[in-house]
Amino acid sequence: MDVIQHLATGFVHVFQLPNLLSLLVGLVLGLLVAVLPGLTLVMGVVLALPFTYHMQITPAIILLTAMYVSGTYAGAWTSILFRVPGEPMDVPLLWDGYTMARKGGAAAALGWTLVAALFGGLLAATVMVALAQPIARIALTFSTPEYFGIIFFGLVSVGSLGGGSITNAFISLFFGLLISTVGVDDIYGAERFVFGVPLFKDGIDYLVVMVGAYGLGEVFSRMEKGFASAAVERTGDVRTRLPTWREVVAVRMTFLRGSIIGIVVGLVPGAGATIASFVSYGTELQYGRRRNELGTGIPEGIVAPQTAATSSVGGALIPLVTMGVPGSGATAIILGAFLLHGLQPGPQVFTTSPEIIYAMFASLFVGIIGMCVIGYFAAKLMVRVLDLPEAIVSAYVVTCCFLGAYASRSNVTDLWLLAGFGIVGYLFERLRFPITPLVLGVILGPIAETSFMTTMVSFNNDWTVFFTRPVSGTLMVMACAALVSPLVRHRLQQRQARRTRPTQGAS
Amino acid sequence: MVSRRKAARIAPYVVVLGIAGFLYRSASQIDYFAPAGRIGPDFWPKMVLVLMIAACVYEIVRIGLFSKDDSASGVLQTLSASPPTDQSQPPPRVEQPSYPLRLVLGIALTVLYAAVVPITGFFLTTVGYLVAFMALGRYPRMVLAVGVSFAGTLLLLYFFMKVAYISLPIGHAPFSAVSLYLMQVMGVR
Repeated sequence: MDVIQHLATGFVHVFQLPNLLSLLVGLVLGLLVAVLPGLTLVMGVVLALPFTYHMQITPAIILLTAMYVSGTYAGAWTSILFRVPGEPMDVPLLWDGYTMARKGGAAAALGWTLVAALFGGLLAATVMVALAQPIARIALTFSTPEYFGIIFFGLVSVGSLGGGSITNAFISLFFGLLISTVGVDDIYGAERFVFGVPLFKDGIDYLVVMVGAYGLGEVFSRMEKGFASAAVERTGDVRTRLPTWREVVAVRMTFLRGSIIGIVVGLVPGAGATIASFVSYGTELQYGRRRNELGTGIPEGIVAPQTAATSSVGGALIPLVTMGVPGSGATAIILGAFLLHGLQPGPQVFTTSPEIIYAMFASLFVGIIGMCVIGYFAAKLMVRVLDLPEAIVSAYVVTCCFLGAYASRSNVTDLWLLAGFGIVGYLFERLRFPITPLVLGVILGPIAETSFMTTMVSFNNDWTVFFTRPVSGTLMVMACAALVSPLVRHRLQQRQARRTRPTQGAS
Repeated sequence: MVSRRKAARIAPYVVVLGIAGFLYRSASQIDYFAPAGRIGPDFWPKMVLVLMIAACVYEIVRIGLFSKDDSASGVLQTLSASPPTDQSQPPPRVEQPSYPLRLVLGIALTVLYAAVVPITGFFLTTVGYLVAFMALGRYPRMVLAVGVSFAGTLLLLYFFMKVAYISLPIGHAPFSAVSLYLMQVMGVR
């Protein structure tokens, strides 16, 4: 009852003019960012952050959340119509969405995407509202070992679940954790890694790291490739034809499976929309009713990844608001926005600032519907941004990076750090070190260190406390499982490959 | 004997190992006073550095002695490795050309921006940077590029100084005169 009342108040807040305007701007920006070549969803949210510095916290959070949710949708348009995945999460849409479009069903494919995003998004938002307060209530009973356990699990998952090499992910994470230690330490007042540079004394702002590594690094990478976007190959008119009720009912299990997978994957820190989309398509490939026809342009191949991608947003917001642990790159930036406005997400926030949290929840419902309405009517207009020259877009991306880095502390010397982290971001991308663990390390590092140090002081340096308390112990075991599972999977794959090789040789 | 290809793959880890070693030494010299029996501010960074060193050593040994392929991969790599068969023939992999000189110039231009902006102010530096960046990106219509750069910078200046109340660098004389004039025109005090 309490939840419904808060949510109703949240809806009232959302429909206030500044918040509604923020929502609209966020939705349009998110859709554009997802369509534009060279701009990823996370990068878009990072670039929007400086424009929210002087906004009230509620419209700021609404704007970024709206960008996040609509960014999981519009990339599908370019995947289906032009064979250009706007985001990595849209790659599975090439297999059935683009094929359907090539067969003359572009409007139908866009319609399935819209319904999938709407269903997955709304279901995940409902689950988020239902679960958030109970989880927060449980989290309120946690002490520092449990908090350390949660963050440890989050950081380990980020390392293990992302794409590419696990070792590289962990090295990136360790870099992030180290960057967060630069400056004067909170407990002893000791200077760490300052090297006599006054700029380092105040520490390194996580915003500079985020904007530099994500934004500038990406631009440098694209500059090296000569700003050469993939050639656009049009498959048909940009119209949306919604599926009939009967057609939707026929694939109801795919809708449900995709949404549940999205929510669950979103809940796991580090596993965002991209993993949700791939896992959902993979599950459809194994358990779907028409699994043998997947890849030939059937609705199930569109619904599975799209429902999962959009529903992962609701899932990823749950750990963010209830425990202060971001579930994905975009939620890490939303966490940054909360912190910028002096609000630490976590269980207490439900008692101290419920109006902000529930306004954000309500904005997700309104945003998902708004995003689909905009998508239905304005997709044709929006995909025209693909015609924008990349050199101009990238030049403005860099300028927004400068402004983002400068405006957080009004310190010109932060621009040097920005350039430095831009180079680091480029090198990371070039050498295949993922950037998300670095950013999460910088943001969560101080919380991890404080909870670790406080636990050590409270429990007389007894580190076994992390394993002997039920909740923290479970989380540590889960973290170990997350760490070991990719290695086990890799070994199994190798063994399987070895087994199949002699068979192939024999034939 | 480590092959050239393997050496190139090992090199980043050797560099990271070197940095971690240097930082560990630096962490050992952190000056602090802590009550007896309590861990100090050097413990956490040292712990992270030890893990980092271990990861680098593992990777160097793995590539140097055992590796033929990549290391254990995450969920995404495993899944994308097995897309459905038949189908839409996902985009063919085309070898993209590389422009290292443009990259170096782009980085130099960015560093130059950071160095010059306190002197020439936000407006002039940003317009110059945008035009130079677009030229570097081989945008062919330079008149349009200059126009877009001017208009965009004015818009950003107006938004940040008038709407968001963020004071952007105005620079030193004589360049500050331009910033002050624009601020006056926009009604920024």
